[in-house]
Amino acid sequence: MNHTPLFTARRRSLVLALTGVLAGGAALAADPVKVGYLIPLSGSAAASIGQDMSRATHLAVKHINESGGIKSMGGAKIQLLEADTRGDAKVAITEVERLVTREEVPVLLGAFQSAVTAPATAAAEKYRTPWVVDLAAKSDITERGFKYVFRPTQVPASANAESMADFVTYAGKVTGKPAKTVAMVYENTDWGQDMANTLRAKFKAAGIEVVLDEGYPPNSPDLRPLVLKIKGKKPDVVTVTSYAADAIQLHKLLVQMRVNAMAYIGSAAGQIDSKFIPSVGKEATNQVFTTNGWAGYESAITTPFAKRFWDEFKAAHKVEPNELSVSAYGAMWVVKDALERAGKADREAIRDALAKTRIEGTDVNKLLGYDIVIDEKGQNTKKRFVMQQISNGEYRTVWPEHVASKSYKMAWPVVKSD
Amino acid sequence: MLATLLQALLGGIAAGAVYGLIALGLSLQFGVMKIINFAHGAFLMVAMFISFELCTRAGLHPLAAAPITALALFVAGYAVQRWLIDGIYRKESAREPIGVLIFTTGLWIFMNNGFLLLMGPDNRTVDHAWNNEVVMFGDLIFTYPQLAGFVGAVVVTLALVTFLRTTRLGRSIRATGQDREAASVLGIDSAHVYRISFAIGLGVLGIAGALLLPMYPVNPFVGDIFGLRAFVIVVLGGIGSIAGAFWGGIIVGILESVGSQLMPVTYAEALIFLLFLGVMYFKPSGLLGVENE
Repeated sequence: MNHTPLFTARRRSLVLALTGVLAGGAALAADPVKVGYLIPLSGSAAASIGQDMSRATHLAVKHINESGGIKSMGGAKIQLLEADTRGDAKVAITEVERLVTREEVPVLLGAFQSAVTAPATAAAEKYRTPWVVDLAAKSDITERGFKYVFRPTQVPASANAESMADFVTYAGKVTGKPAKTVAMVYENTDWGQDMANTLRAKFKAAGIEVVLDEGYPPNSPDLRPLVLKIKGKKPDVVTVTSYAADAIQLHKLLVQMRVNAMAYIGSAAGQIDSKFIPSVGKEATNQVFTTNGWAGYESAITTPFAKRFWDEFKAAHKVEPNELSVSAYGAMWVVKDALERAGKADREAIRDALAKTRIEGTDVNKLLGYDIVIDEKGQNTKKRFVMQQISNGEYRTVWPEHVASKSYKMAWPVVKSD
Repeated sequence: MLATLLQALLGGIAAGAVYGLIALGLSLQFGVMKIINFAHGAFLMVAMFISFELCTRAGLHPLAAAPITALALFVAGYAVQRWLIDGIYRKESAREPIGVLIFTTGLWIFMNNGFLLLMGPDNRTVDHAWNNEVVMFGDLIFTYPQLAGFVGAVVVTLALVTFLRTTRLGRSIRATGQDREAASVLGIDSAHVYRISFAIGLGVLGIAGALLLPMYPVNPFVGDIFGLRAFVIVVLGGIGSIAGAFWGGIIVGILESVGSQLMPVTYAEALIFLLFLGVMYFKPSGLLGVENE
């Protein structure tokens, strides 16, 4: 192994030489702004998602730099320093320390997983380095009184349930056929009960009577008794908080047993599983509602800005962007916005700029589907899950109005089975 | 409310009959060989996948897939007993067959993960119009698969009981179950009886899987859901008793279905296990089981 140091030394000098050339070239323009990016690229099951998000983030950096970089800093380019967390909180913390102390990055971005992001942001807080959280949904992240942590493109899971309840009220108003009663069924797990707690409170506040409030053990051999119970209560609306296997069974049974509610509303889990429509069938899924974290092509890809992202992402990676990649792309533009307003690559200045983030009505918002206004906790409370209705095997966005499909008219109440 | 309860009762009976049919093979295998086949649920999953492939690839009607699935499982059961379990079982003829128990546990995990690799984690159902067709009697609604499940379970159970009572092979299976040494003294080839019993157990399971598929999506772990229920039913009805498995299934089905209308669904699930514990305490041989020696 005695030749290893030699090799390393040689490589280092090569890198130095290259850096020199690049620095010489860039010296005419402003110094680049370093952005530390933490994301799982290997090691855990989250790696495939992390890679997807990383591609979108790189694409955002490319687009920002092509369009003139950070103008308030003399057109400074963004330099992304990507670090693989391997889905491991300890690795992430080490990388935070390296990026902050050795690379001296003024701002950090990442790290998709809640279990990694929560402790890693605590490390960044210690170094007083601002952090833009991408998609980690654990509510704790912005509930710890931290001054340097901001979450512009994700909201805690309860927002999903809030959107379901808000939509029911909205649909009643626009159609003149308000729902008076609701049956809530949910799997009896942490997630299901969290969702149910929010739903229960929201429906109560909206004056909609909860006639059935029923948790069930997930993966039950027979859900027919549960559906029979729903039918007995004659609810106007049925909310279904379930993963794929149960959602498939429940939605089939809701039709078979002629529950005949005004609407069936899912919660962005089983009902958006890729096997949901083929398994339940086009007929039985027709007019089923479900929340979703992103409105999809028809609603969101309406500007040249969004089109450029969609086309280039799809061309380079052979997959269509989804909520994950769109959020990663949007988060980088939030960083860019803060850098513009900070005017210098300084941690305190960027922190202050992030805290005052107010991005409304721009191309970025049109792509994401929501405005970004950071509150005193560092949380953007404007993100809403959209409501989609399945029509002939396709998800059509029906709410909120500004992202709703122009070519699709929502069915409410849904057509009854005979 | 009354209509709901009647619907719940009848629905419970229909679901319970299928549970009983799933438990039938398990009970037979235990009754004859005194082994517990932990891979029973996994074999149900395999049956559902075979039936799924027959329906989607060959375009068969879900009911037409049942006899073919049963045959495939019968052959698989014979082979597993002949080449895998037999050897282990023989070595343990003098004591409790713990090795077989461990072997079937391994087989269960192997099959689950093998199918995960082969078929992926997705839930699949057969897209056939018949699956969703309903029959209405006034307020009562039943789907064709529900009715087929009930009728199929009753017919198969009756056929199996008749076979065990009236045929020579059936009687030798029962004789071996009652006293394997006396049976071999009388010239019954116990190894053959074991193979046939194991194969029949899985063949019946094949029919159950095919009848279940129109009602429940199949995934590599679907067997675990029904496997656990089958064990409860077998013990409840009386281990080794065919009629016990049938009635045990019906009781569980009714408890689950009617219980769910009267209390939270999660409690109804607990109620099944409460009954199970009660039976274990007061009548350990099960409701229709025979006290041993």
